[in-house]
Amino acid sequence: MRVVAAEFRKLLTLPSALVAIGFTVAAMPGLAAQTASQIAARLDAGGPEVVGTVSTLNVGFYLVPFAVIGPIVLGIVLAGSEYTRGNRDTDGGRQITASLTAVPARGTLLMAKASVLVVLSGVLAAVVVPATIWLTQTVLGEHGHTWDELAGTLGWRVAGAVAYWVLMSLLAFAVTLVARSGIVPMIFFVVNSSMVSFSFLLTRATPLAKYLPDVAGTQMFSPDYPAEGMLGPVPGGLVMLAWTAGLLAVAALVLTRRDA
Amino acid sequence: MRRPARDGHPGPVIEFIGLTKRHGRKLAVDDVSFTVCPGRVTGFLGPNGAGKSSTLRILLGLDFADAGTALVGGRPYREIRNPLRTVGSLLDGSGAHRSRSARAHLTWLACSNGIPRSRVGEVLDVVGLADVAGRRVSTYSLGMGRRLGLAAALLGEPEVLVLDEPVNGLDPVGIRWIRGFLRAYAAEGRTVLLSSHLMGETAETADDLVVINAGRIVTRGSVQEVVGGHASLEESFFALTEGLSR
Amino acid sequence: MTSHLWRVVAAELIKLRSLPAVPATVGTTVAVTAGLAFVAGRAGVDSPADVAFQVITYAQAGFILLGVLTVAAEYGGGPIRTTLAAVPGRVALTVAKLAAYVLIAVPFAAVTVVAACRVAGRTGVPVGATAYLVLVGALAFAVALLVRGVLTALGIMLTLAFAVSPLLATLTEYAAYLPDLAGARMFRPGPPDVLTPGQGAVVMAAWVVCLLGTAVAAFAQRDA
Repeated sequence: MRVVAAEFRKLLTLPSALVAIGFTVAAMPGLAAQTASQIAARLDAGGPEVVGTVSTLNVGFYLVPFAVIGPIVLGIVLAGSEYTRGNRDTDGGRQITASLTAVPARGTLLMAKASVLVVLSGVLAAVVVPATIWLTQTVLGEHGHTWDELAGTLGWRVAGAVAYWVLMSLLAFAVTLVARSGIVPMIFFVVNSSMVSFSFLLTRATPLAKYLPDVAGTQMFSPDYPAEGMLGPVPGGLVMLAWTAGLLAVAALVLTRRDA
Repeated sequence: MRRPARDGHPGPVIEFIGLTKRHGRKLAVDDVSFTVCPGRVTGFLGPNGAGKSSTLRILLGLDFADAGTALVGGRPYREIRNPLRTVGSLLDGSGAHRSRSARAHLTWLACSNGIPRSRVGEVLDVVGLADVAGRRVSTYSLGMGRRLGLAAALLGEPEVLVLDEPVNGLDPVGIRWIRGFLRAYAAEGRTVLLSSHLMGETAETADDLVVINAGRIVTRGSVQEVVGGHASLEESFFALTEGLSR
Repeated sequence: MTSHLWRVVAAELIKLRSLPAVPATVGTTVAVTAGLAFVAGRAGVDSPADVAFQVITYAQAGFILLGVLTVAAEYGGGPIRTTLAAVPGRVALTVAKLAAYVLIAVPFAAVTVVAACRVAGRTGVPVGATAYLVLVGALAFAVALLVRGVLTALGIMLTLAFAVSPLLATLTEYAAYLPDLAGARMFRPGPPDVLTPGQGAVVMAAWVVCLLGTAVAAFAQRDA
């Protein structure tokens, strides 16, 4: 437990982690509220209630696959900061040395870090996602939906979104630990969370793409994934969970075997 | 480089005039003034955090002084054309990017200051890194990194050497070697300024001493003068610095 | 002065070449771009032109990384001190770094664009796309000079190019004036025609110049 507390302190004293959290907390509700006010204005003018793929129902929700960049950056920073060189000292000074001398049990260290990440991105998602839904419905005003309606449509999808953020941050964390540098994971994960992701491109090329972690995981919350023949929410979540567990196991194996 | 003074003796090559530097509210360097003369090894002594590195960083144009100036050969470092051919410097670490090879590091340095490429091989030989010059710097030991930093300092055959804690990370053989090297360098009429927190080592290498504590110069003079009536430089140093901090 | 500046440019080129991450970035970007163009082309959903535009949008990640590395590889350790000891003129140093970046980025961008177009089955070499890739890296260069960290600069630029800009574009037409969206008009037809390709190029270049100016001003007066 002490190790977990120490890891919490380490992560929350990293400026880039705080920026990632702040960005997520500000950007997702902000952008969604802006979209909601545009939809409301359009409805007031007698227009259709759907703008692109965004409707009054999912306006608080459509940013979930993009705002996951926040938790992803948390995962990358948590692992990557251990391997960044200190500012003054070129020829050593990576934090991993201090971490491993403080906590020589590497499995414990990995578990502590992963727990911190689960709690942090879990809380982040559990706060930001419902808050965004509430905010957009408030902005929509009379065009909004009742809580029963929302619960009926979104309900379990909110839990799916939280799970998606947590698993995504763990994936980024595991890949960064193995790579020992945040650069490639940062490019890969952020680009892949863009409007048109690599994996989405792959769903058009091969049916096997539905087993990719992010494509499978997206089924946990996405009401209208723009491709055919995808997995259901529960199998999709399980596939993503399996990927995450597998990659964490690889990271654990690599971390316990290699020299710091 | 050496500026002959009117009486025929060479004048000071490095001058600090009323140098002051703040880090936030803390005064890191407080009105520091002293000169360094050619043909001598000058030791810049002080405990950790006394302001040695800050002073040297300002001298090398890396940091900005809040007041005062630091001059090399009468000019600020930043105004020297091809500075590596005038001043060789070594700060902490190797100063090289860890995924570059030592040879590539020295090659770009030489290129940037119009130094013949042949010097790269020469300085690698001098510091004893010729066999490992193609390896990435990240695979080097601390001592090898320091040797590479020294090679970079010597690259331009400078008249002035400014070294921050040069013996840090060197083994006894390396320390002995650098001591002889610096003495010989100064004996050729060149200027050597080295900072250290190691009393005994500095007493053996330096001719002149400048002692700094908490950002202020507490004493300066030849080694004999600074040691004065004390049993050793170390005794003298503690007498000077502790008396002040009380 | 000019011969001095050229020597510094040559030194910066040696630095970039001898940094293993740089050839790796160039090679990986070209290979991944061609590979994606192949996969997306095989899917046959989009026209060859659309496929080429899409993969060039991905390829900008490589140019962002190149721009960031040119500057930020100096930080997070000792190299910046060595560099400034060798070349104390900070404006000249930045000019030389930018020149070295451009000398590598222009052929790199041309090869990337040609690869994307050929594999996607589109003929011709869009000069606009090449210019865009070089400029987006220059923007990353400026951001890296301001924030002085590889991961931080990379995070900012990638989030801008791959999340913030595309999302804002769906919300407001003013988003067309964001640097990357304005510049993209040089090779990609924009939905609401707020900017012509020429105007887009000017807007993006203006962003790059302003950010570079700010970054150089900051760099010229801060401690290394």
